[in-house]
Amino acid sequence: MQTQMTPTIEIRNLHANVGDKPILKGVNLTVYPGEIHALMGPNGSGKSTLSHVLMGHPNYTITRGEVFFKGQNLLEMSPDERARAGMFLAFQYPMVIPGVKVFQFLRNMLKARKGGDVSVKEFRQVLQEKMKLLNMREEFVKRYLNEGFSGGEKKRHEILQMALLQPDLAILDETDSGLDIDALKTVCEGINAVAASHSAMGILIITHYQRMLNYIEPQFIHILFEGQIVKSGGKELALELEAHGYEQIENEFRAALAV
Amino acid sequence: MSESTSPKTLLAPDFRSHYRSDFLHQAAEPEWASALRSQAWEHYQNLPEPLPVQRTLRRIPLLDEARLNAAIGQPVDSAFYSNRRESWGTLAAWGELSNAQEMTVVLPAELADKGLIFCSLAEALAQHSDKILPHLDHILPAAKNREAALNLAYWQNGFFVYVPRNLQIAEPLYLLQSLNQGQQALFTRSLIVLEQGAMAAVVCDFAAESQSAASLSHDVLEIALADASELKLVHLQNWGQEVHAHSYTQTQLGRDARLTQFNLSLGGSYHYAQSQTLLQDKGSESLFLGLNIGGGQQHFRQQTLQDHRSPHTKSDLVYHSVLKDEAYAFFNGLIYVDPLAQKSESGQVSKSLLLSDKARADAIPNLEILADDVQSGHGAAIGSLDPEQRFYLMSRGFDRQTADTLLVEGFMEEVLLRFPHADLQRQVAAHLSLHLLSESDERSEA
Repeated sequence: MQTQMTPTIEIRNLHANVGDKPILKGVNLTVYPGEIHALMGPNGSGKSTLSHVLMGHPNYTITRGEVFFKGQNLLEMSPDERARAGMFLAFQYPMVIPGVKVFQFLRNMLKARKGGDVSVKEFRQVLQEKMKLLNMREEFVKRYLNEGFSGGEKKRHEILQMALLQPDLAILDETDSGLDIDALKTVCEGINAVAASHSAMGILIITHYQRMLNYIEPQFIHILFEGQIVKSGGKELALELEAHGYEQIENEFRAALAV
Repeated sequence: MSESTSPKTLLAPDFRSHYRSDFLHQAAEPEWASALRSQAWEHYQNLPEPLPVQRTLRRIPLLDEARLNAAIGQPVDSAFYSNRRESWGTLAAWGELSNAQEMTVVLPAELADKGLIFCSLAEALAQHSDKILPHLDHILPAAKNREAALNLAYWQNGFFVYVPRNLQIAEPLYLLQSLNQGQQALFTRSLIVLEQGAMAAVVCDFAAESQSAASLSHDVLEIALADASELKLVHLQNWGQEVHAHSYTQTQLGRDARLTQFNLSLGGSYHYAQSQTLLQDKGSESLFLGLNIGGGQQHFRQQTLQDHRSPHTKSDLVYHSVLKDEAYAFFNGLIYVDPLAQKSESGQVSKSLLLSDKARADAIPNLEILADDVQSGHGAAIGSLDPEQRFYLMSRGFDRQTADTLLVEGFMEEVLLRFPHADLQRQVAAHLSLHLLSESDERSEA
């Protein structure tokens, strides 16, 4: 059934470098509309690189492979074109941009995505609704972009942007990092609420730990190791990881290489 | 404007080496004022030239000072004045100074009745000498400051503002200086006095359309803030692109007095701006804000001093420069804390954003702290737009140009927002947008 749909994203044998150093060494991954995938892996395995490459960060060079986003060649698009086409990256470390007010930023962001005007009244309404979803106070939008935000506020702000933009693919890059358990719960509930209201949205959760997956249940789990996906499976894989750590997978991988 | 020089100009010696009495058109001024002039000229001759900065800076654009004429004194087109004035919104009162001499002041009777004095400094010499004498040449004394001495020897006109005890005026007083001739030497000088508990907002606006030949604008502003008074000052240099501007601002603060001074350099080919605050008495507080927006070959130099002389004094400084093309900015700031100024707090941050490969900035932040129980900090940063910030914005759907515009506006906004007068904040923001709009042909709506 899935195979008749156009995948939201299809990554084929993707290789990417930083300078001369290869980081991604042949990643294959396909996400269909509405699917939730988790990409796990030890530090340095290339998880964040993949997220940045998919969003079009200028520091990486693609050396091989293809990526199709809703059937379009993603690698030809600039980051803003990718965003307007419906791709969203929740940053692990959202940038602080002094002097830019959250309200104006969010409204202009939505305008860019919609390719037309969004009246202040209309915007206020949808904003209020989404902020309620994420349990955010109204004063929040009067502040400056991520300036003086706590870790939890930054992450919640990322998810607020996701809720407003209604992307076709949301990549959540270590959204759980730096969050205490209460903040993590609120953020995950927010993500689930957005997913529920926008059922065609594909989600790629990038995380080091299993704990986020207690709140958001992925159908597919992939393990990234040294720039390649070495294992894929269902949610039992996360539990296996939780029990045995990355070491076991690393050993399996090395053993396979040695054969 | 004709470029041709009259024989008189050709023969005229440099006004720095010989006293050019033809620069003065003044009708009779009190004898003491004339005496001040000649004394100042003496000081100017005797004071040593300042030592050059120990760093290779970009060369100052040339101005042939020997070819400058005396100020013409003609009134400026009244439409220019009214447009400019209206761009500042509701004003309490205003004054307009044309080519350093002709002055018009509009002061509502109700403010005059409350004791507010707003007139030309030339007029005040005769009529308000009691209020002027304690301050003129005392706040920025010619005996110690070479350029202030030159100005005192040559000044042609300027403003006098006197806000009496406890009078608080929320709407701004607007002081506009303009010119409509090239090749002039304009020496202007103003004095602002706030008595105890007085409050005022003042805009000193230097604006003109571009002329074909360069003029020199040499302006001194002395400010006396008595105990518990508060001044919010906007000092906006928006001359035509050919003008060489020198401004010297010195404020002396009494006990618990407060100053916020927002210096903007947008126009001119060269602008040297010296801003000094003397925190003379306990609890006084000053905030310097600065924005330099440069393009073409504009050259800005900011020299600042935060001078702490008493305990519990507080000062801060935030200067940002945005430089395109081959523009240049040099920031040289000193925080001085006297041994007596215990428990004082001071800060200084200057940042420059270079938007092209040929734009350049230099910064020398200095601290000289002689008290041991103080808080002080300083920092300087020079760089181009942060690619990570740009990527973040682009990942949200903003095209590259819009992302960059947002970053530049945010960078300016950071300074603007510190100015504690909501109306003036808006007006300055509007002037900045206008300035940027007129500078770039295509600028997307963010």
